Amino acid sequence: MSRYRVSIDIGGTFTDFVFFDTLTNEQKEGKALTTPDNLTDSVISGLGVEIKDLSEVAFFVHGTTVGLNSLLQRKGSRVALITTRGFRDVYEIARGNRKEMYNLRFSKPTPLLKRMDIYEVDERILYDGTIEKPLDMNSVIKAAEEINSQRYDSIAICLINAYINPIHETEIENIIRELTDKPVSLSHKIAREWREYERTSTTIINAYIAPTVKEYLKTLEQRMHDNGFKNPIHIMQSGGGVITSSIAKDSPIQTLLSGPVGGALANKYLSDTLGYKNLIGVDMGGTSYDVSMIINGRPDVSTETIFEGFPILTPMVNIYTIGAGGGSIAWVEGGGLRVGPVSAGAQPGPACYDRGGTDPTITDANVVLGRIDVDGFLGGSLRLNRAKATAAVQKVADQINISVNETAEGICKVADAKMADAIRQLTVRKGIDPREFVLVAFGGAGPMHACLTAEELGIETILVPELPGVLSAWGMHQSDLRLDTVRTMKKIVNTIAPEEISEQYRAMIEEIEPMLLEQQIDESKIEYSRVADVRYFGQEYTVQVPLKRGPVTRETLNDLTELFYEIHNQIYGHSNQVEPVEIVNLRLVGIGKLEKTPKHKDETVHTDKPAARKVVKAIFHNREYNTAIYKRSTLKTGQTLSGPAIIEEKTSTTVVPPGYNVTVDPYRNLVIKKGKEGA
Amino acid sequence: MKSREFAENPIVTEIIRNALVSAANEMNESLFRSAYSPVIYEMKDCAVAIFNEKLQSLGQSQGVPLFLGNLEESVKYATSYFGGFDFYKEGDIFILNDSYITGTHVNDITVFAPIFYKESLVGFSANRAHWLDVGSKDPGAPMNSTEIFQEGIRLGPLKLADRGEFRTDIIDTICLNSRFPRNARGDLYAQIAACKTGEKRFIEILDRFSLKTVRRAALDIFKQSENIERAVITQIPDGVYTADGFCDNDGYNDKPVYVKVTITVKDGEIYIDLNGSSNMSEGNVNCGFAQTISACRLAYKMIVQPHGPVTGGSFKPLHVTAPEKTIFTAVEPAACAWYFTHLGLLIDLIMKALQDAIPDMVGAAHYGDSMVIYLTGYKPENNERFFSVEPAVGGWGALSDKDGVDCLINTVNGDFKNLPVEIFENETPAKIIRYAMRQDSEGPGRNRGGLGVTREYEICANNVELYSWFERSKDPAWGIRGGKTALPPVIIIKDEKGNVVDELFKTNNYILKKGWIVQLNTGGGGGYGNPFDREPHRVLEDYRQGYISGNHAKDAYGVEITSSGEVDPVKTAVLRSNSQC
Repeated sequence: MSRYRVSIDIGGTFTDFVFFDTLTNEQKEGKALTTPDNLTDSVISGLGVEIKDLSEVAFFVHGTTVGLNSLLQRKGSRVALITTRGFRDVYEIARGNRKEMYNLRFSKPTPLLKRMDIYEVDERILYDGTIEKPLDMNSVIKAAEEINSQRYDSIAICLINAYINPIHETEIENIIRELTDKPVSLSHKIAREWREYERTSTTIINAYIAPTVKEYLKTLEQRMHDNGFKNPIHIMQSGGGVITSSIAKDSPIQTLLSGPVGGALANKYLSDTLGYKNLIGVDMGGTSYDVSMIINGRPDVSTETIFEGFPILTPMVNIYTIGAGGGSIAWVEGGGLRVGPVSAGAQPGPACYDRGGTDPTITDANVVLGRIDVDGFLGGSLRLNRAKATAAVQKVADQINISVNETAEGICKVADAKMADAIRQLTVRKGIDPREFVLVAFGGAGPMHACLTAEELGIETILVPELPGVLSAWGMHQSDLRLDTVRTMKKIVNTIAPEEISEQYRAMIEEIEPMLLEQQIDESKIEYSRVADVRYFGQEYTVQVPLKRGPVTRETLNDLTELFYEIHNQIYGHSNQVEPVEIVNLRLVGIGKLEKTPKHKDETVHTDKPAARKVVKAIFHNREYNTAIYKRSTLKTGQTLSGPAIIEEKTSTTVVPPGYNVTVDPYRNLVIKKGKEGA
Repeated sequence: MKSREFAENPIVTEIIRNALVSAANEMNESLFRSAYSPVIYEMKDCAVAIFNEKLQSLGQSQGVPLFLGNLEESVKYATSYFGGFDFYKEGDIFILNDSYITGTHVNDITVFAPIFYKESLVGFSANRAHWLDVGSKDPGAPMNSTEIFQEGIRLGPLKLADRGEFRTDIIDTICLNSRFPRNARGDLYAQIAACKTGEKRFIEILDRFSLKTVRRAALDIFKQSENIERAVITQIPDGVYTADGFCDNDGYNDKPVYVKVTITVKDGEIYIDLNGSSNMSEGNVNCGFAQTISACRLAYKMIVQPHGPVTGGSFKPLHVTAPEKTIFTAVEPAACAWYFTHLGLLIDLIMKALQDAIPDMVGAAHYGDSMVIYLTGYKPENNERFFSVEPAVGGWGALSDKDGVDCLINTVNGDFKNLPVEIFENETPAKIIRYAMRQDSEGPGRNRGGLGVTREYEICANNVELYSWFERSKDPAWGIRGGKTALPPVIIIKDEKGNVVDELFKTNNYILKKGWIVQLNTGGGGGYGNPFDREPHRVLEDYRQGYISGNHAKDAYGVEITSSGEVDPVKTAVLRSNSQC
């Protein structure tokens, strides 16, 4: 029988698994070495460790990095682009801006296709959707034949003003489909928004990764079914929902940030169950520090992102990467201490890994301070060399003329402060105060630095969830089906007839509903939410404002305007009730509610003191403390402990500085708060 | 134990250094997010800084690169005007824009506020942003002004808020002077908000570390910046290096405007002297000396320290001099609307002068100027006024190890993004019919310059007015180290039948009819090294992609390409040995 719900997150080194047994309510984590040459190998073998017969799997959700990797490593397909005559170079000119203003050596991102891969056809749609020049079939056939003979793997179509009238894109698609069965990506289906460069870039990325993702999903489906699995495969999409593999094959760009999004969903779940409305999630690994946010109970999602220098117009959970991981290197410049952004990476890694690294990293500093026990790192699987760590930190200490311990603590302090600065800038951008947030720390190194980063930000509560090392995989269990669509409609709000908006939404529902139903979801489980991108007339930036449920009336639009003032005031600190307000885009999100895997709540509260594995010396505030080391697996609901302390588990280490108290909550999260002075 | 060179603990210093940079970034975020005009939040035509009470920079954020270090000059001037630092009271906010103080044009509005901590003056937060219109004789900024009085309202240092009370009469008067008062007011409030953000964060830093510690750390931060810059400067051999060039004209008189730069590097110091450059022009290619210093600092920073933040210790080895009443040291009543045209040229010339001294650290000239057009008139459907301003991208100069970038915005415009065709057509009664890389426009070289662009508009209403400012047509982007010159820019006007009716560079109030075509062509960037040394396969690749034509491959690079699209090695060898390149 189908008793298991399984999630998988494929990372660079490890593939993470989380298994839920719905019979016993137990959860288990699993790890398998990632097999880069054939990623489905690690999936199938890792599943096999727990479940022999995959017909026992009721629900399978998967965060894939296939699309992301082919983009990052530039190993995607050969793409041909078809565009309106006169606009072949839109993609290569891009927006012409220079992000690094003082850098004489600045370059644009290397295009994913060459200029000669771009084909022009004769046609022209005007800004209001009228056809100025009908599509010239001869020019299309000529381009199509050329594309066919050049054996491209994938075809992208993006015409000027197709967002308002896509008829020519559809006509071209029909001709192309007669000649080839290669994937075709249409700009109005991938991202129906204005701005030709951004739309072209999005469509090209979709086309670029389409064949690889499609092939991978086909293989995975086949192998899963061969092993008895009977249900659809679900794939995480970047906007925070899931889609079935059949949708992902047509629109692979939605899977680009498939992996890390799981972490944001886990935070959303923590927010729902624990009642915290605002969370900052920090995921610190070896080379990077990823920050995501839950604001007012909702994941912070952007409808436009720059990725690898390319704009992408599909909804993505915002994940801000800061160059500070456990491997960030400390160095000296002009006589001053610096930490990062250069990282020792996986090879050679920190000096304490003893693989030839000699530069001091944040991890080395933690080892010198005794905050990482050389025997307990990664569940004891990697024994660390403390002498090498000390020698590396000593190099920097000599240059700035302070003691090795002071330097090690300094490296951690500088890193903590830098992370706090970066988080503060993100919150200022959104007009929110970080002190109102709870910090959720995960990843291998996140819980190591969480307390001191939180202190810098004035955050009072720190949460280290269960299984912090596989939190992304865990979070995938908490997702719903999600499909997004958008229409650009630029109009002053009080001149719009409400019926115009209803009409647009009706068209969008007609577009999305069949795709939701196709994913085997009951109609009663479908919900829609409507959002408009709104701005003051004359501004460029827009603010997303939700529309109230029910038919669109004049009153709905008045409410929308009122809500816009409120949100604008929150973000920008001012709003003006006299200025005209303009809608730019209408967005529709279709949600298909899936069954969730609820977290088991412990009813029994333990009040006994937890037992320490051992006691070591560790340095905090330039002083040596006796510091107890606990195993996370021995801690039970209700138990408390005080810092200084170290809590080890298989994939992560939590450092609790002096003055902080830890409580294990009924969901087995570690809740850490600063005690009263002297406590 | 501390190092003798530094006053404060290096860890505390580093945390404070990062916090100050972050505070400046937060000011910028605040300004971008609430500004009304795209020229601020897209073009980043703005700058922010936090100073200590001695007006040394503690934190400065990237805005338009040309505003490097002249905010403090503005505050210094205001301070002496008001009779000293004692004049400032907590809650005061000031505004000024006079070209001869700020160095730039009157569209650039500087707002600053003193910061008080425990009742004493501890510093200033300041920012500058470009306003769309400040009431000049023509919308935006005039192309042919001859005195500053035609360029809009001039604000000496003026109090906007007195001990926390806004002076609404003053604010209203300033906004009354703009053709776009809504933008003016919105941008002004954004600038005030940015000042407040800087003040708030600076006080938080003082609360945390104490004033005494922050002051000591600041001295160490300045010392670090100076150490880093001086270490790079030792790589530049001592010597006297010169270069000269010219702008087409000053927008009023069709006479060239000369720039001459003499750079002396001696004992770790860099002296830039501008003797020999043109006297103040009758048109508006002039700037105040503060802006001249900024432009030299920009060139210096691009060479010496492109990545680190600017601090009170930056630019110490740099010394700039210029004779009085030149285009670089303008005084009343010189017009200053296009204050940056000769500065863009100056930056390219500094690179040119140093080409043999530090061949790997400088590049060939870029296409040179903002290449701006305005289209304005009334929309046929509702008779509402429209006003479109667009700078255009062009080619950048080649470097010792790479080709110049194609179609990129000019030095002084920073992060400016071109306007999408689909947005432009929504707002303007004109249609873009082509936006393309301009074939063969690059300066040939072993590494080639970047390509310019062609952007073609079809006008869809009658009596649309065109204003344009195209430059560097007579002294286009040069090559260095044997590299060649790029194509110059030109605007071509065609009537509804497609006949060429005009070739333009700078024009005012040029009336376009419905159906006419405006074709902008910008220049390329200069080449680096002898083009006959460019590997034939790279020339072939440029040909295949259509960046260059077959004839150009032959004439400029000495590479013969066969009818089947391959390099003809024999003919190529002959071409390359016969011609002296």
